[in-house]
Amino acid sequence: MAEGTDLQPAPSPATARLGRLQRLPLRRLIQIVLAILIIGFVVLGTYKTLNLPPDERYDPSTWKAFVISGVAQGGIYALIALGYTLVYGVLRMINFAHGEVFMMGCFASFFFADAYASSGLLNRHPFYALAIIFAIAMLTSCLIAMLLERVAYRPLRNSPRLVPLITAIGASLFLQNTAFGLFGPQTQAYPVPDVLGGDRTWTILGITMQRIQVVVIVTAVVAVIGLTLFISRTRTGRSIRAVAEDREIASLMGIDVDRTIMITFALGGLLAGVAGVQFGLTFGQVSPYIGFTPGIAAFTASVLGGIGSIGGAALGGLLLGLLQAVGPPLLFTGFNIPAPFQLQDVITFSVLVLVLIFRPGGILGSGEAEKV
Amino acid sequence: MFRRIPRVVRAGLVAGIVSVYLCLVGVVGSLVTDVVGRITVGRVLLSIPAILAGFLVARPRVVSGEVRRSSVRAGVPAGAIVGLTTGALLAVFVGIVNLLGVDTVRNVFIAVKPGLMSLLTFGHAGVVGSVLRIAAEVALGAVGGVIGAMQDRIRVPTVIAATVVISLGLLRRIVHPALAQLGLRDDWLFSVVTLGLTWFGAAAVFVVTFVTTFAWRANSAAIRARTHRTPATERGVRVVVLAAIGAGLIALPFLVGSIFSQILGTVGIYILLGLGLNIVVGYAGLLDLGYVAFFAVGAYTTAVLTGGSRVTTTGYAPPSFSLHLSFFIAIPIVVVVAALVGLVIGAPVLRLRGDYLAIVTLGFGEIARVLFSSDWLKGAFGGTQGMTAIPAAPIGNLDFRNTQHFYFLVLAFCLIAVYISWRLADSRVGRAWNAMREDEQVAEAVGVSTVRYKLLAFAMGGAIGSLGGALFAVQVGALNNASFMLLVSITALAVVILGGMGSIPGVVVGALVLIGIPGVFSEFEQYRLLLYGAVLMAIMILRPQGLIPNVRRSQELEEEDVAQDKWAGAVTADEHATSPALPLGEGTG
Repeated sequence: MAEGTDLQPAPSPATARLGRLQRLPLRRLIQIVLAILIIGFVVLGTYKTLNLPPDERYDPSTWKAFVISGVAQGGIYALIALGYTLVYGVLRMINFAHGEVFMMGCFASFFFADAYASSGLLNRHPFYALAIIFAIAMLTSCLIAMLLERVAYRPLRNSPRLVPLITAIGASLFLQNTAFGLFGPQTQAYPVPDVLGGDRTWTILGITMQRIQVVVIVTAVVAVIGLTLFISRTRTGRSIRAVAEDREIASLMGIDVDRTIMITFALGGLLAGVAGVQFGLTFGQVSPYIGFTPGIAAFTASVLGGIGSIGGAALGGLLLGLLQAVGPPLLFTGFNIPAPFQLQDVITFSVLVLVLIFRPGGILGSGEAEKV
Repeated sequence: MFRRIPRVVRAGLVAGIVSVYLCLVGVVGSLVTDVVGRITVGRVLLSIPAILAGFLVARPRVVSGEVRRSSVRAGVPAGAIVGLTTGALLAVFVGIVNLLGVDTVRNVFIAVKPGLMSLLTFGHAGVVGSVLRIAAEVALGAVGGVIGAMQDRIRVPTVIAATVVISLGLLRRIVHPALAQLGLRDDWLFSVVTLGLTWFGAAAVFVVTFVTTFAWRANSAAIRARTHRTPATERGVRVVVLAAIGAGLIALPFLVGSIFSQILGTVGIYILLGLGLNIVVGYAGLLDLGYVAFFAVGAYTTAVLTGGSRVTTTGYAPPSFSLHLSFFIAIPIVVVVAALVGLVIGAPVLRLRGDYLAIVTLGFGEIARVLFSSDWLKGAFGGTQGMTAIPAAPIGNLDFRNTQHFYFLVLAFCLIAVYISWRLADSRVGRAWNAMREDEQVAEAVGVSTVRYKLLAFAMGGAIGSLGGALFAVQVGALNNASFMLLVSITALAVVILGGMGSIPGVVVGALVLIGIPGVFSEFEQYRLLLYGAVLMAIMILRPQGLIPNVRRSQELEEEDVAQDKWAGAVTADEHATSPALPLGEGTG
């Protein structure tokens, strides 16, 4: 970005020389070098991977599986990313603890799922059982998100921007260790109903997918559409948009700002709850530490898509899921880097850094925002 | 809906919820060290919400612009009602658990054990137990009410004395051997049976602290006014104070013994990390959440340069390149490498501000950890198994492996870092950082090259942080990626935040509290991170300038307050003035 928007008054010759010498070239140079390096790495890695000797190469069906699991993973990211985007849109703050909201929903639903699994309800009436499990997760995450807003963020609404962020980091640590203290540190197996079990597949449009992946993708799509309709069609949605536009003017127009912000957090919590169950069903496990990595990835997704935009969060989630699933084997295998999936997080963070450097507004964002 | 409930009951409800939370999360039941007599840490913590809530409803408050103080006669019933509500909530909790059965509840909430229930009900089953608990909470709330309604000159010494008693009760493991070293008897103070304070000892300490604090507060101003200090005497006093601190620092490891010297060593490492992060966050205002990267760079570079071995599946192997340098020759190289890494990390994020910078640096921290432990760089850093047999740092016969000797190595590095930080603060560079932190555009406009100073902040901060990493490598002698989690960054951040951003004494106090206390008080270890989270939140909400504020930094934070609401600022100022006890309770919730 940058050069077009760097409007400064015409400097005096001396400062202009200083400026040209000291500031612009260094910044631009770093960006250009970085861009060249990365493009080179990506192109070379892809080329080498695709031209591996046949016995080392992945076959097309493996690539297809990578893509499908990427899309499903992207669905989960999208739902969490919506929570970041909603809160950022309204408060201009990164709710760092959102990953923990997601984790809490997953945990709460786990106890019900576990009870239903041992009583057999989960396999006798999977639909009803799952409905209750989803409801519990959504309710818990929603309550936690609202509590977080009320206790941790509301007192700081007018503070300098770093203050709520540090609070959010504290809240994240606090919630994570609360779960640790309440439920214990061990990783527990999240029960999956047999209908959705590992090997059961559905074939849709000629693509064979695991059933759980279909469920994840469908619920994610439904949630995104539902949220878009809610924000664009309902009265509450309109007040959320108004508060996001300008908090003070909105309150002058008779909108209860506190209530609207609370509802925003509640919405984010609901979606995080859905994502929590999806995560549990997909990976079959739950522990107090599952919130962190998906939280960061979802944040990256929302930045990638353009933070503050709902479609952006969905798109970003999908893209990031794909990048994480396809990226490591595609980029790293060619260089003979062992265990490429170890470097999945490197991809996530590199994407985040690169988006912020080259297009801070994200794909669907306005291109220029106050965050830089 | 919640707002329509009377204030007093509301406070009681919040206290009740906090109490139930403390029970469920496990701190009440599992912290079983005795503080005074048979009163465990868990019980002390459980009693704090009711006392604090009673205190809050009874303390002076500003109503429509004027300060209202409640009399003790009004404070006690208010506190009692708070306690009644809290107790009722706890009784409901006990009732529910008994109804469902302890074992059923324990399937979900692992902290609910028969021991916790009998602690809550004083060992009595059924209604009697619940009534006893309610009565106890009423009493605690009333005590809080009394404290809130007291006049300042009595309340402050009371709270300080109570704090001292509780801290002393917790610190037996340090105080006892130290007193023994000095040849003093302490069986009147610490019970041989419970290892906590005896009731007599507690009462004695309370009275002595109370009287001293009371007398000091009443007379210190008068004494100061009477002694006319000239610059010469001022200097004399300062020399004496510094000499006393120096002597204390030198004597410390021998007083507390070798186990606690190790904890002091760790505290020192975090002081280094805190000082480095303080330059980045406190001076330059760049929130770096990836600070662990420098810690890791310092540790791994030291290990490679001094010739540590890689752990492999078959045993040990030397890294692919190794110089076998002495620690003290390696250190300058480590610092330079870390400064370069600071530049590399800083360069791409020059244009990012505030929260985005934080997340991106967090990413860099994670990338550093993943890279150091990846199979890809296994040849140099040993992959997930890491490195081991890192040589010590020898000077003559001293190799600083002994924890008491290591303490002095750390102390030396800390003093250097403190000196650098202190000199930087008011230097031209420090002032440029200040300007940049307060307003980047204005700073740029008046000729501060923000690019240069941001990079300098990252490089300086990274260099100091890497010293912490280098010492860590020597201290533990082995490295793996578990030592370089995000948590290190957050701990360093908490150290800086607790003490106050930009404040050097703040960093020292922050490290002592956040690293020292959990280290000394080992059963607290599992709640360490809970405490850090609570501290970060509580400090930011209640006292964003930190415990020992940097003057300029707190002005900035206050300006913001004043600008939006002068009157609210006045209320907060009043709160701080009248409630020195507040930071005490923060750690609990």
